[in-house]
Amino acid sequence: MKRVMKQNRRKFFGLVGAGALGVTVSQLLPFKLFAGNNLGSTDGRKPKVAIHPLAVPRKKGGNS
Amino acid sequence: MTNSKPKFWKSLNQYNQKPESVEATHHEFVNGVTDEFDVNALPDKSRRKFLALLGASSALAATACSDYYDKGEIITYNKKPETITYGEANYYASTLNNGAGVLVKTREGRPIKIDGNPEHPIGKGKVSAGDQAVIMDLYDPSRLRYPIKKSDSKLVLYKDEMPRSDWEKVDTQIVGKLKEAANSGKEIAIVTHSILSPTQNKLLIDFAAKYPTAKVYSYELLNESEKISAWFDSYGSYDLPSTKWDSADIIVSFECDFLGTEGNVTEQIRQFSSRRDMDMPEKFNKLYQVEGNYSLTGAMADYRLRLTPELHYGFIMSLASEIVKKGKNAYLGSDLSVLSGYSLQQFADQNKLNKKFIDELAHDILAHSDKTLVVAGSSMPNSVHVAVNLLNEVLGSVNNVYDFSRANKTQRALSTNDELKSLVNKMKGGNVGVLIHFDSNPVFHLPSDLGYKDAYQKVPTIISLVESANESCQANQYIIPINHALESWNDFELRSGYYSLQQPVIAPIHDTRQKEAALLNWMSDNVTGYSHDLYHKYLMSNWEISVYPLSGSVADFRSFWFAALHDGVAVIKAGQTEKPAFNISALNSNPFKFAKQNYTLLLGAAYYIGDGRFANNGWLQEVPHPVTKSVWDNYAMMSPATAKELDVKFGEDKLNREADMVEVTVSGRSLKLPVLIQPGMADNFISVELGYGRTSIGDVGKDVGFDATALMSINGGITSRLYTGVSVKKAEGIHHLVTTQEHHSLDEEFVKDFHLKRHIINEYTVPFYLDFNKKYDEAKRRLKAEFAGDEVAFKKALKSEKIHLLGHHEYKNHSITPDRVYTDVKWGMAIDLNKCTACGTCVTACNVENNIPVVGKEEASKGREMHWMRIDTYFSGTPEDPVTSFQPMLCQHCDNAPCENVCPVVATTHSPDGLNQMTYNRCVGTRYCANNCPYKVRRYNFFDFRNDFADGYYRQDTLELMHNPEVTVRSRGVMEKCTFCTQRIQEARTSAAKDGRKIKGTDVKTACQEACPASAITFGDMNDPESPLSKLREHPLGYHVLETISVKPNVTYLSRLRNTVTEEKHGEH
Repeated sequence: MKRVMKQNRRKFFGLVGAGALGVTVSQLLPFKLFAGNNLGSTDGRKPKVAIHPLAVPRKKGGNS
Repeated sequence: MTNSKPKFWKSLNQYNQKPESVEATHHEFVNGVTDEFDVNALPDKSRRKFLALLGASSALAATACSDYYDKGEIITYNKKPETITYGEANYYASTLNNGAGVLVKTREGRPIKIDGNPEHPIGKGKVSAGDQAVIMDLYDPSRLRYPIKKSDSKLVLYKDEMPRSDWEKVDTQIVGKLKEAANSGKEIAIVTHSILSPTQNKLLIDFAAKYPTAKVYSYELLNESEKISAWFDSYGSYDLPSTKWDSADIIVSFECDFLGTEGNVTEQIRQFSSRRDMDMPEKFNKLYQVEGNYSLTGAMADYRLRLTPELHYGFIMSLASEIVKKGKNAYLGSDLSVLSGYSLQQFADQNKLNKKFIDELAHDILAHSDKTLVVAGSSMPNSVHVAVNLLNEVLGSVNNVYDFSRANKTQRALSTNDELKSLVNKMKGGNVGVLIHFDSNPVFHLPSDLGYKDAYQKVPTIISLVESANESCQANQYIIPINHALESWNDFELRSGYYSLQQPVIAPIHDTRQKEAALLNWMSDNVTGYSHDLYHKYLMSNWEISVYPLSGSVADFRSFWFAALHDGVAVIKAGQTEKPAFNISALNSNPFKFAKQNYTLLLGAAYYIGDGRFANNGWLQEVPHPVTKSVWDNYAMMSPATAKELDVKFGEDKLNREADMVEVTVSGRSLKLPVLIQPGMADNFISVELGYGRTSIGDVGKDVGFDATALMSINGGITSRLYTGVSVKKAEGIHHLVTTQEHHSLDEEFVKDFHLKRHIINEYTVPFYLDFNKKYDEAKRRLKAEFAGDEVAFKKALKSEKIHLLGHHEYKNHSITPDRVYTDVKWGMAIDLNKCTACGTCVTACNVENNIPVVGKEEASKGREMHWMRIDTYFSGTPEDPVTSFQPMLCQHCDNAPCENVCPVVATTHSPDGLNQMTYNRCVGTRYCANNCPYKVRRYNFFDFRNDFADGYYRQDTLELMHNPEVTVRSRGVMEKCTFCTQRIQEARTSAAKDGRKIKGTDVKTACQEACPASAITFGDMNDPESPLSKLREHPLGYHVLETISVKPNVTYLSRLRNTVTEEKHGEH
């Protein structure tokens, strides 16, 4: 006869599995989803990094 | 526990041998730092709490090692810009908004480090701690990213009250409002900080020509108005000459913190320290500090007098009278009858000043009269500054200590109090049509009794051009986001003839505009035709007309311009300027009329966050205050005697952070503040720093500290920042004030008096050292003859003689293992304690260079601040008149490092070139190494602080651009410490290899060395006998901290020489 796990035990292991799944998912997802801080780009654009075309570079030591 | 008071002490608790304080020195970590954390004690909406509960409910984690963070898209260049080579930095000369000349290091187009511009004649390659940290403000997530216009709809959701707008709409509407105001005769008020730029000044004049009702009001919370007006009264000019601090043999400072907060601190530190060369002890300068506050300058002084500011005027006049009586008067004017009522003897008697000390001061200034510089602080009134001018005239030093050819330029005078009052009245009366906050925050900075906050809300159109929203944006219709200094064009003339250029080193990160370009656009006929080089063209054209002709350059203008951009500065030859005649009647026009009543209150400048502009900069909030070592707060600072009288306490709890509250009242204006008891303060004198208590700012700076402008009055007291007749009483409540003073204390209790013999602090006097030098030279000659031919024996005998002459005991280092042999370069460092002024620039530079995380106030209270370098402060003497000794402490890279032996996973090792290395990914966080470190220089990442602080504030997109890519960003659970900037060593090695040569010690400059304004830090190769480092290691004044425990540290400290008659002699009141 097929043994069926008791109801309460099934429930218990189910909770354990759900908890483990939750931790796994939270580890894989980007941290930023959990961050309480809501400052940041609200226009969907990432800040852009570009050298200013008119900037004049130099050597660290300068004229010496 | 010993019964006698310790010779050196770090706090009043240690001085009074409180059991908790003594106990604390036995432990590596502060009480509470390793306690199990209580989930229930966490705030309800804490992310930590949520995750803690989630973790507790699961039986196992499916993954153990995953720590994946979305770093965003990494996209390689399709077309690599010509100027970028991967892995190599680019450098640009520029200027910050305070006029400091800087060299900006960029990687792949991102600015990552700011240092001084070596070509700049004022900074000469150095900048302040605040300037170093400005890089964080560029990437601050709280910066505005687009223009904002207040919604016209009456039915708005809370969050849409100030929605995003577009430039075209905003520009068109603003121009409409400006024209409407001008046509109807209503004023267009532009409120700005002090104008340092000649081109910006010209722009404001042109703006007023376009809109005739435009008027500029400029203010500065921390200004020199009293000093400037006194100079005008004395000499008829508003241009203060620059001061030659290195020309003065004697400096007498009255409440002037010139090494901390006043004037051009970087230049002043450099010039002051240049006269503290231990190889020329006979040329040492001597600093007398007379103050009620306990400032950094006071801590550095050779002699210090505690004297409340109300008495300074009388003291200065008495000194002048003494000079005249002794016949040394150099003032050529005839009428000195103003001095007839003053006598130094009488003044000393009346105020119970130590007579011997007064006699010594008088003797010194008489002996060096023409090389004596007397200065007064900017908080002192006009009359005190005039008295100082008179004293300098009488001494005959004016021409020696001031440079009239390079005056400190004022492009536009600050508005007077009457002008500001008139503006407020006009706003109240509806006579101002448009109000423009031109990168300013008058609601926060101006005294509340001026009524600016209520009046400005009546103006129909308010526009703020700001980087981040502030207290003055609350009633605005328009908030215009502006470029950061590193994204901007401008010029500065801080001193006549020195024209610094500001160029953008990165294109604007967000949709922001240069504020000057915004004004230009609003002046143009085609308001929608904005381009980003509007102000660039304007600047260039102004330089072609006004700067280029002065230069005398034979090159064409374009070549001159690009050379100036390359250098960051154009130096125009100074003309000869005569010293004007002193007007003695200036003393009568504004007589000093304040007597001490009740308490005196000084509203001082914050050391790092300025007037509150940088309150959102976590690095600057967390660098310990140079005197009190407090972080993330301000307070009412007072003497132990005053605290006893008020029955208030500070730091007597387990974590040394509970502070009683006091209520400070000035003419009906009150503020409750926590108490900090500081040895050395004058009695019945309270000092509070401005710039704190910001309410409308990013998450980092919001509600940090207390807003002391609440105590200011537009009518001032003695001055706008100095008040007498103040009442102070104990108030209800406790505040947690965090100081790092007792964190990481070197344990001394175990060996009782050995802390003296261990020579953690070694100090001598100049006379002692001069005598030592004579005897040492004699001994050298004698021993050379005695051990002729045997160099090793000679050196050994000479070392013995040196130790004996310095009054120390000789000891022998024992080791059961043979010494390591370093055949190539061996890195080491020397720190000259004569030059170090504890300004904290090295700490900030290290933070920026090495991606040090900000931990916040709560974690700092547990000793978890992550600074790799700290500046230890030791006091000696009594709490009433302490003598302060500073010592920068960092990883000593010991040859017999006790941390290396105990790591169970070999995460800390020793390199072939003498570095104590850290391998972060091996470390499992046992913290045994930190436990074993006698210098307490190792820092443990208890959390991933970037996640932990303010719910991931430092994980936001822009801030991740700030990190130095050459340095690993450490995660939770690993130990870290100073690496001697191993990334810079590697860069130098690569460079040397490319050049086909071996690396030299002088090829590398650590971040702290590069930043130190006093050039107190030397780094290099100790295996090169000709290197500057080797010479310092062999110097008679050189010593190592805790040398007797045989760890063989490689940081040499050069003992401090105090320019006093005896070691114990210091200022007394």
